[in-house]
Amino acid sequence: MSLLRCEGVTKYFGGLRALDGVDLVVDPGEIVGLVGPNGSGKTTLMNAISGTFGINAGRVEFDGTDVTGMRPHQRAHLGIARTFQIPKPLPSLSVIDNVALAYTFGRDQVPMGRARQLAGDLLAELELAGKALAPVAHLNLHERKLLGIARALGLEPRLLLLDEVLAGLNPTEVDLGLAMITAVRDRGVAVIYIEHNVKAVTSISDRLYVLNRGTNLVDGNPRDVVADERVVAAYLGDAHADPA
Amino acid sequence: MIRNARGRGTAGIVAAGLLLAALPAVSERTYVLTLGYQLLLWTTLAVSWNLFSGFANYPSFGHGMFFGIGVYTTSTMLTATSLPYGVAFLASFAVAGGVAVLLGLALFRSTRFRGDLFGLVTLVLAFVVATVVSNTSLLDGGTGVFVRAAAEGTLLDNSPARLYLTVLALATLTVVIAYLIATGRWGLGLTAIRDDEEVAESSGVNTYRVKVLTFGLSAGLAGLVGSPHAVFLGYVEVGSVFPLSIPLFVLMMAILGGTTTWFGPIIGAVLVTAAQQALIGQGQAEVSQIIIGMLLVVLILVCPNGLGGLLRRRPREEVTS
Ligand SMILES: Nc1ncnc2c1ncn2[C@@H]1O[C@H](COP(=O)(O)OP(=O)(O)O)[C@@H](O)[C@H]1O
Ligand SMILES: [Mg+2]
Repeated sequence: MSLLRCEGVTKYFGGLRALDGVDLVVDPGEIVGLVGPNGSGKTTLMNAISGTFGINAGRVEFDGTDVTGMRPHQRAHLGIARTFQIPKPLPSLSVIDNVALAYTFGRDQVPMGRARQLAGDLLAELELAGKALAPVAHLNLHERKLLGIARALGLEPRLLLLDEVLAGLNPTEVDLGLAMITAVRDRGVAVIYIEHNVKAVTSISDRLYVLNRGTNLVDGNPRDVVADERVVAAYLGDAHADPA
Repeated sequence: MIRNARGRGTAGIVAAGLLLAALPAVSERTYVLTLGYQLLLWTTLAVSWNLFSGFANYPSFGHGMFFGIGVYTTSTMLTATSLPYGVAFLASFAVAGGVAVLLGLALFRSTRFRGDLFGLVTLVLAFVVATVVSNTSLLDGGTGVFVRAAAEGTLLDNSPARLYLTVLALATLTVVIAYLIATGRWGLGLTAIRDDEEVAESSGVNTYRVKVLTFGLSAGLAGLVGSPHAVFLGYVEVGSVFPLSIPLFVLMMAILGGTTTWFGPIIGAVLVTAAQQALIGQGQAEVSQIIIGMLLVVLILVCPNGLGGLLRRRPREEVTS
């Protein structure tokens, strides 16, 4: 059975149709790449899956449960975790407490002492241990993005939604990031990986979806998808995202 | 020995409370006990306000209203029923807390009601409640209520020492609650709500539930301390129970002391009450509010995180148990 099933997801912002009947399926333990030109609705789809707002039509099903009407914390408890395109570390909390928050309010409601221990272990794995007690103001962009991933992993999710987590990083950091995403998948967590940089996402995705103007354009095997002429056309003139 | 850090902290606060309980043995002068009563009353109000409005940053102008609801719950139950004082005491908590829970259930459905709009709603509601009380003859009806006679022979018995000890117990309870919240899981959730509710939700925090319950607890504690205050006043009237100055002073104390710590509002409450009493002692009752207000403005400009913020280095209490 598939882990996530989105059917006909539709979302309006006033008169703007940000999503218009989008379908998407994710199986357990796979990396699904989600690409598309700027404004094609990738982030909006992620918000619809994590429950930031209600949708106007369609349905979202997670592990056989209809979650369409659920609030974000309920979906988090079921195993849906997300990052934000612009990292949102909580400034009043130390780095470790940003992560402990997810452990202690996640599905298992781990007690605080244990949550801090687990958060410390996770930060060590992500090589952020040195900054565990620092305020988040001391983190650079790369570290903020890592912290966002750590907080999402603190929920011990079954599906991780990553929104352009590697954008703005240097090539070395991007390679490390791709290796980390693959490692997360290898632990059995399914990943939806939104990326503007098509090359990066193609290299690690098991399957690829392309959105265009809030609709499904193409999906399937990453190599076939990027070679598809409709995809090439959608990206024409978009210098950042040459799908070669 | 108490090994856990939060257990030790709690024991320390209770020990401080027990120490202050010796005051009536040291001095029986009504002036001294009344000053102590005022300090502890305002401490309870400022610390309980901060539980929700400070920790989650939902500044409320309704704290005086919840306090007043507690005052009137007790005055009504003492004068209109023959129930023992203890029942009126607990009812003051339940009614004030219940009103806040209902208000929270309605308001926090929408994320619009935060910041200025939340403050405005609580302010308007405070006027509505004062008007209702003043027009309901069972509660007040505009004539005021004589509590003194009804309180005679009850637990408090109009005794300054007993009133002092009651408010001391409530202040201790409130500070312990604030301390445990600030250093624990619940406080982490409230801090996340203060910083970013969307992130809090997506990290698993049921923000609606946390806000409703904490608002209810905050208001309930204000109502609870309103109960002995009905007896303290002896004669209860809308004008002196629901003035705008009460929520303003509470806000001022918490902001002055610092809203992100459990102890900040204690500092604020003690400083403002002491300054007020000193100025009143000089026969400057009218001038005192102006001077205190101006001092507050200056202090906020000098240290925007409150005096408590100066004492704290870490982003948040770090308690390793
Ligand atoms: N909260 C919002 N309010 C109004 N319009 C929005 C909102 N979020 C996204 N949009 C609009 O919806 C469209 C899709 O945006 P988005 O999902 O962010 O695209 P992508 O992530 O693919 O770049 C854009 O036109 C964007 O301006
Ligand atoms: Mg986006």
